Amino acid sequence: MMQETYLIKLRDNSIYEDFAMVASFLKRNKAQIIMTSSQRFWIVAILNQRLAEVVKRLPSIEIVGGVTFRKREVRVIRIQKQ
Amino acid sequence: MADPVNAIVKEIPFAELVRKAALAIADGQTALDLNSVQTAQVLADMKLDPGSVILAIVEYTDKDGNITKVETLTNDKPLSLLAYGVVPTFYEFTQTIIDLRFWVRFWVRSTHVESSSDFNKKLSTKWTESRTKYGGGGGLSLNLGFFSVGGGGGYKNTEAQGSYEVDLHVSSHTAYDSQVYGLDAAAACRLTTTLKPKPAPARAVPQIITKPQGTPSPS
Repeated sequence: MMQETYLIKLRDNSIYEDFAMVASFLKRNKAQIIMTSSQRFWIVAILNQRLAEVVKRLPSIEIVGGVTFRKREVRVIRIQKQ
Repeated sequence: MADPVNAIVKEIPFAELVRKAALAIADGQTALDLNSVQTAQVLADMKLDPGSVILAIVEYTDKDGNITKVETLTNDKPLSLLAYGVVPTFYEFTQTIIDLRFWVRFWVRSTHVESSSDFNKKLSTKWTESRTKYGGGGGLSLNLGFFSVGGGGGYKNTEAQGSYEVDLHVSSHTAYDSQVYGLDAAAACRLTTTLKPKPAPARAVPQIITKPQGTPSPS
């Protein structure tokens, strides 16, 4: 089963317990959580498609969508002191 | 008699099957695209706090080019995840295989049944009965001219003969022919599609260019 990165967003009316429940569910099912925001209730995690379908059906979930990390460059600004 | 197998093959709606598969794939593709667009909207709405994303590294150097100080330049306003570099994945159906299998079995079974039975019975009985009676007398025989006195003898023999004969012959014969025509038809259809991630369509995700506006002044 192919592993993919998904954005999991909880509904706006969710509470912290819902977020904790989803995060715990993902951990139990061996999903790899990359980023979370416990204030805004979203999780970016690596999971397989089957688990993504299961997560999508959880009542507190608003959207589960595949995401890709674009290559991001951090620029270096060099300032020479005169 | 027409070949029923050919008739069944002609009845399988291949064109309809392909048309429905194509429509189902198109529906699926639309749903996938909408989901990706919805994800993009959510990513645009999700903000990272100010000061949480390093946009650039500022290096201060002296006249000789040696680095004297290093600072990080972070976002001063909330930054969306989309701007941060998290983009929705778009998918496309790259291959679709319709695997249709059907099994048709047509047979004619002929049955010929013949049975025959014979029964013979011959009963024969013969019997003979013989009975003999003997008798006799004796005496003196005197012939006086006008009368005579004398004796005599004899026997009685009775014979009976008979025979019974029964001849029984039973014969039965059964024969019939039958033909059974049978037709079995079974089919299985499997639709296999391959879904692959693809780059986001042009302009679906805006190009994000991060430009640090101000750099901290060297202290």
